[in-house]
Amino acid sequence: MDNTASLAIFWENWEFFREAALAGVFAGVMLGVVGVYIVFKRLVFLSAALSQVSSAGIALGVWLLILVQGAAPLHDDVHMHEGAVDAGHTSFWWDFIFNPVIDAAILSLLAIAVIGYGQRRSGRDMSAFVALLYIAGASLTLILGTRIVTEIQDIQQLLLGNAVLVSPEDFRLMLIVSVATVLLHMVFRHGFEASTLDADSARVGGIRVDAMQFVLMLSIAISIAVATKILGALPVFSFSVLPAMAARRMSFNVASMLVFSALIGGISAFVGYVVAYLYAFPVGPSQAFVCLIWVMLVYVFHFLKIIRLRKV
Amino acid sequence: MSMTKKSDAFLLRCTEFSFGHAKPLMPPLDWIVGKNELWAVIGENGSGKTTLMKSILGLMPKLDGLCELNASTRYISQIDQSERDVPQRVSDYVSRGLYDARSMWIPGYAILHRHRVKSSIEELDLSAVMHRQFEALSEGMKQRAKLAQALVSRPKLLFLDEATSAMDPVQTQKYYISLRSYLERESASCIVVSHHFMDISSYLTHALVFCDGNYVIGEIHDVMQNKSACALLKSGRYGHG
Repeated sequence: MDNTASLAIFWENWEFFREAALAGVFAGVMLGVVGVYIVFKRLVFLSAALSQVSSAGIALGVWLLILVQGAAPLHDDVHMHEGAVDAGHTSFWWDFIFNPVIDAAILSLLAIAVIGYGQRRSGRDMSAFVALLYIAGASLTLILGTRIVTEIQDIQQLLLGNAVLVSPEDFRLMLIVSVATVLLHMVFRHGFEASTLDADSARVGGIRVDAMQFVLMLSIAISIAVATKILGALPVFSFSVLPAMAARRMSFNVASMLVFSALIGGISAFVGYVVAYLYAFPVGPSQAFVCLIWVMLVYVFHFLKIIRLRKV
Repeated sequence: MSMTKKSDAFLLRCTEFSFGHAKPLMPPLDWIVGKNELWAVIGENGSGKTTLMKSILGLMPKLDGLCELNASTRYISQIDQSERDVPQRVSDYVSRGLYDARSMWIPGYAILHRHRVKSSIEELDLSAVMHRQFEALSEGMKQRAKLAQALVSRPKLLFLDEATSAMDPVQTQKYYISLRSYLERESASCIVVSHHFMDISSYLTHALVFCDGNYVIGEIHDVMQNKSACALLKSGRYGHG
């Protein structure tokens, strides 16, 4: 393959790829930011479980929609909504219940609420329950996938991520949610930081730790649910963990870690998309792999630094 | 049990205060902490020292009675495990102490008050390491940084729970000299839970001793005169003395 020519073609057709490439970048930046707290709170596997639970929520939404109105493409929300209108169901609750993103967000929030409640009540490690959520999410997605025969490719896309193209509605949703999430994290940064790192001291200082943690977990659940719907579970898990891991080694404080993590997430999403285009790889795994290369490079550099310091 | 007599200008006043998990760990406590006092809470493991502190601060539910806090308060416990994975210079760690329910919403608050961060760092003799990563400090230094973090907001009442557990006696002495000078300058008070009673007894003004299911409470020389409290304090289990 002539990569230079392909890259030139990519830029020539930028209008065509723009929404999918930029949706990945927005998701990478947003999940890079929330990923910092996922790493701090040691909820890495919760992020994996949530992306699977979100997939299950999306599959559930599609399945419910098919049950009541017949098959409709997963990525065509306008079509789905029109189908609902045709069927005479135009109420708020109809839109609410049969919206895959809403279903994904509700299931994610429920999962987070149960884990948060269990952790607060028992104070125990909830990793076994997180594993249960992961298995429940993944198996439910695959089981529902067999009932959404015409959408089986969409279900696979949901799990692996192959967002070659993104609908204008999904792009707008991604843009709004990512901008809102980043702004929220800028405004709440000190509250999130204090309540995550030293909850007792924060409480004594008058900070409403439970409210802060609720908002933080809400932002994690919504960002993972929306990004999973648009990009798929694998890149979402990668963006919510790997950029923060790499940024952790590059940063001198939390603010710089947030910036580095967002940059790594955004750059990885874009580079992954271009690599997938150039070599005809699936988009999601390519984006995840570029993230992984960041982490490997940063850790190799870190170990070389340690060896050099030991020699000195 | 006795109650120390104070003026109206109290920083902490507990009345018939009962604490514990399901049932009370001790009889109800009457306690007043005034200005410029350094209290030690002494007792055997599991006697309820930390439970008392957390119940007063609202970090766990009280069982009965009333505790009024009449001052800006800070709580210093052992370094949380989650702090260890966080990239932060000592100056960043200390500046986090500036944030409370109001200041956390003010953009650039830490920059506006960086002089307070600097003076807190100097007060705890951490200037040489202020740009180093917090994670790279020794445990004793981390505990000093934690005190600097608490002092940066200029609280009037400090609660220290095993805050010097990783320090040797010399470091502990330096720590309490810094603390004492802060309390005198700011007319503040401090309540300390510590097992190193003999190392810090010369800095204390008052003590609350849990012994034999009851309290001995009062000024330090009165407590030292008390036979049951004295036996506990001099048993060798509470310090290097």
